[in-house]
Amino acid sequence: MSRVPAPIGFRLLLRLLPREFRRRYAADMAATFADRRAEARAAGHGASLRLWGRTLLDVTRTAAAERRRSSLRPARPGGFGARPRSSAVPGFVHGVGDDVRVAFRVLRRQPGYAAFVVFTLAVGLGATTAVFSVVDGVLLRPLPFADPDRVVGVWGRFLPESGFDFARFSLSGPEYLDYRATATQVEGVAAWARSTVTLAVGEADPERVPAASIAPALLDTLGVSLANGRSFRPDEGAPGGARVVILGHAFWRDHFGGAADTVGRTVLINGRSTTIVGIAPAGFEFANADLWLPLVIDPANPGGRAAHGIFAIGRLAPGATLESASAEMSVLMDGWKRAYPEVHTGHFLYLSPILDDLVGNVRPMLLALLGATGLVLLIVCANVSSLVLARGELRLPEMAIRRALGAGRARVMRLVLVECLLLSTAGGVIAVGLAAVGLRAVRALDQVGLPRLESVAIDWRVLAFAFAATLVAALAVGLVPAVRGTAAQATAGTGAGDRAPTAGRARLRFRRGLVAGEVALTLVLVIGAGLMLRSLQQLRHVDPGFDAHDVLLASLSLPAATYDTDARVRAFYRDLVARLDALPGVVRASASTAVPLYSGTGLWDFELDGEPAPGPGQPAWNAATGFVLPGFLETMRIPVVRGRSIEAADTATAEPVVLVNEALVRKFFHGRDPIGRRLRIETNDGSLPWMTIVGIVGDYRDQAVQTPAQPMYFIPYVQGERSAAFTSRYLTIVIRGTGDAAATASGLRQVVRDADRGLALYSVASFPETRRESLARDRFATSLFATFAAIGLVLGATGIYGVIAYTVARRTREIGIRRALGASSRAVLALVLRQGLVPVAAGTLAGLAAAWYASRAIAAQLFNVSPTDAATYAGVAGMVLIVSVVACLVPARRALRIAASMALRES
Amino acid sequence: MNRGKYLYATYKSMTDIKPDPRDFLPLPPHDFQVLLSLAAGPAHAYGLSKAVEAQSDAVRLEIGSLYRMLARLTTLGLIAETGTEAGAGDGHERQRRYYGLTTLGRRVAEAESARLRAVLDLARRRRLLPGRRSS
Repeated sequence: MSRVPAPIGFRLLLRLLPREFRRRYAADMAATFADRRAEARAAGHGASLRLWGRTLLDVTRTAAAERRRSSLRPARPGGFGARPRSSAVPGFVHGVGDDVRVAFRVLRRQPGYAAFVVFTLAVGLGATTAVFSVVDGVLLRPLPFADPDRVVGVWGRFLPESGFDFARFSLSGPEYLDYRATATQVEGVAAWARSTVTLAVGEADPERVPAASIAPALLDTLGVSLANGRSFRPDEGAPGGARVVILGHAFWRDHFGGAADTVGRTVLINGRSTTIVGIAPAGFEFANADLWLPLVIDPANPGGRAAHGIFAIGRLAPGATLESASAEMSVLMDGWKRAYPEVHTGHFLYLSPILDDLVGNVRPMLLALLGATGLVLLIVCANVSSLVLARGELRLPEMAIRRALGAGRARVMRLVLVECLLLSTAGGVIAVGLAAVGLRAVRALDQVGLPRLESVAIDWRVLAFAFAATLVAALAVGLVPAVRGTAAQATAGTGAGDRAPTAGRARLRFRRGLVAGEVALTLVLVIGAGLMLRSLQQLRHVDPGFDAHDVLLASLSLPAATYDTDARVRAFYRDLVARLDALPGVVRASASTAVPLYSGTGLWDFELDGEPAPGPGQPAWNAATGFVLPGFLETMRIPVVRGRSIEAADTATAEPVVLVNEALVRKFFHGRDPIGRRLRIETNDGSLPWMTIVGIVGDYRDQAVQTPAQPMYFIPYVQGERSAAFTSRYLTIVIRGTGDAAATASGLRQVVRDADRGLALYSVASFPETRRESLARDRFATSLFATFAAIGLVLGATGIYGVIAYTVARRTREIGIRRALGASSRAVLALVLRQGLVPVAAGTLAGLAAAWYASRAIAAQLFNVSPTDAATYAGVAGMVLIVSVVACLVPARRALRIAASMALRES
Repeated sequence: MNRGKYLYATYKSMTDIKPDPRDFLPLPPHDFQVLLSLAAGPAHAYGLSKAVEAQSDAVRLEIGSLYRMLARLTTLGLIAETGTEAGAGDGHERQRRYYGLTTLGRRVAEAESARLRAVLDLARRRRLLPGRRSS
């Protein structure tokens, strides 16, 4: 039998038991519970939930019974019911046990009411707890390295005056080396870069693995000590160093079964034999890599100052702060600007905390979600509060009797509060269960787009939050009813006085406030969700400028070990595409470095023939550059709006040509005709040949569905060596098939295997999938938001309906009197509507104003929708108004149907 | 359960007066089921609850009630801990206790069985229960 340690929930539950009992049995109970849990787990998910439910009820009941028994015992010698007041217990706590018992009994008599309140609270608390656990895991929990708050990222920024516009960009080799040499406030500055490698273990098929190259010092900077083996030595980061690799813990477990003798073994990485020197500790994660290689930077030849491609981190020196380090950086940057004006105009480095680097882009979304659940919880509290209040009115006689028998007002208030606390605790416990189920569902989605999702869990922090939220909810729900319900005189409630219409004026005011508040909260929540839904709808209907249906993608990278010349690389891809074209079921196949929504494209500076080149300090001319094989635009159905496409005749030796897109024409040609003009890639010595513009390509969404087309130009892949001194080893293959993606994919794999057994294809996917991924986070956030809004709307609508209907129903007698005195039913309805809708109108105004203010929080997530979109606001407000009118009319008409005499007889 | 009897039996077991098994009768059905299970030999709480569930298909002992019953029966002197078994882990949480019948417990179970047989005999004589006559 498996021995799972008792979960924290169960241990907390045991706390309910009297101490003596606990001391004797808690450990044994935990063992027994573990056995039961193992049994239930084997029986399935439902059994596990049922076990929790039953255990919860049973232990609570046992605890109550045991506590009663142990509290009875000392009473016996003093006579029945006499209870010595223990000096250790402050007066206001004394007798709470009795209150709990009374509350239990009262609630058991009204199971429907109790169940409804508990369920409603559980929904509100559960949603809040679940989202809090995500916020906690993603935003608040420390990263898995030593002292993570002191680790900073080093980034480049490009202001528009530089010709680029990037808030966060990688560094160049010289920038990195200069900063590393001069920084005093930041130590252990270490570079890293992302890569994907082809890895073969023994005789197994090679596979593509996400990897990162890291400077040897990087692990020390993070304060990570390896689980096994050693870190990189400094000489391994220099040219000619040994080929070594450090494996991630999970990768080691999966590929080597966690074998102790893995260190020292060799694997083939990109076709070269590489020695495993270390294993990272479990839980360590950096750069989403499965393994780490040494980053080789040659200080003697670090590359161009404007060739950005590496990232860097550092650790604040002892005594330094982010401010002092940033101050040091800006002094350094002033120097750079003077020394290298052609690079450092509008371009500089800056530091940011590493947590911001990881999660900065999801923070607004998560906080907006947390806000949404907070609204749901508030609506829940308002609903429950009005229910408790209504019920309190029915119990006025009971309360009056308690007061008449000598209970002080505080004591009676406490009884009401204890009841609310009991309900909200039950709700809170169920909420934690709901949150756990919800989290499991979120984790099961593979396309959430959230970083650090693996560190999200229900632990003591989340439990503490749930506990606090439960307490607050209990107070929010119970405080007003407790005060209001006990304000009446001790004699009230025993006679007929409480039926007088004036008795509940204060309560009526409160209830109107509740209606207004609920209307306002519901409006804010539903308007937020409405905006996000509209935004998603807009995104879905964006014309991306290409047609990706039935297109299959796959990437390939040729190792330098076997493909040592550019000519070989070119020949390989040319033959591969020709073979793919010949496959049955393939309409067209091609390859490119710039596949929309998939590849990252580099920006390259260029010059235009006959135009003065921008001087130092002026924005450089640059645009995204794609190297494409013939047929790429046709496969993607990207239109050539003028001129011609890239053709097979554009060989390596033919006249260099280039295509430009409409955005580039708009930005750089100002209405002049670009066809026939010449363009070349800028170099220091102007050594690259001019390329003739032969066609204009239609704009398409390149980076994300959300962002409009950027200026681009397309160079024939085979002319890359001549026109740009660049032949990419890495290309993305695109294949348009006639439908059966699986058959096309297996054909593709076969062709690649036939061409070279040592190559690994990766991310073979049909295009709609990659497009979905680019929307994944938006969809995730929006669907969560919409779910919360739907819950909020249902709760809000029932709450608004319930409160209004209740107030109108209470006026049945008054309506009868009005009818008896000759008022027409139309006049009565008008009166009810007028009075009922005043708080609704007030709430609507407040809600619209609040939404107008709060929607700024989600403005960054909206696409093509203004945060103050009038249609959304009007639609949601209209919906709330309709619910309110119905809530007024239905009970009013019912009241009218009751004959006037019957209504009078009610008294 | 009959509180007077319960208090009386508790009093007797606490004051070391040799209790009379008949003081405990009639036994609450769940208590009897537990004693019946333990008559087969010592068991830990989980095994005990499984056995009780198996021998009476409607009864299910939830964890709180189970231990409350064990505590009460121990106080009454009907069962006692006979030892612990260390689990695979050696944390104290992993230990499981075994409970067994005391001599008194065995005699109470016997007395309850005898009482029930008398009740059943009476029921048969009144033709409330079909079946053969008991010997």
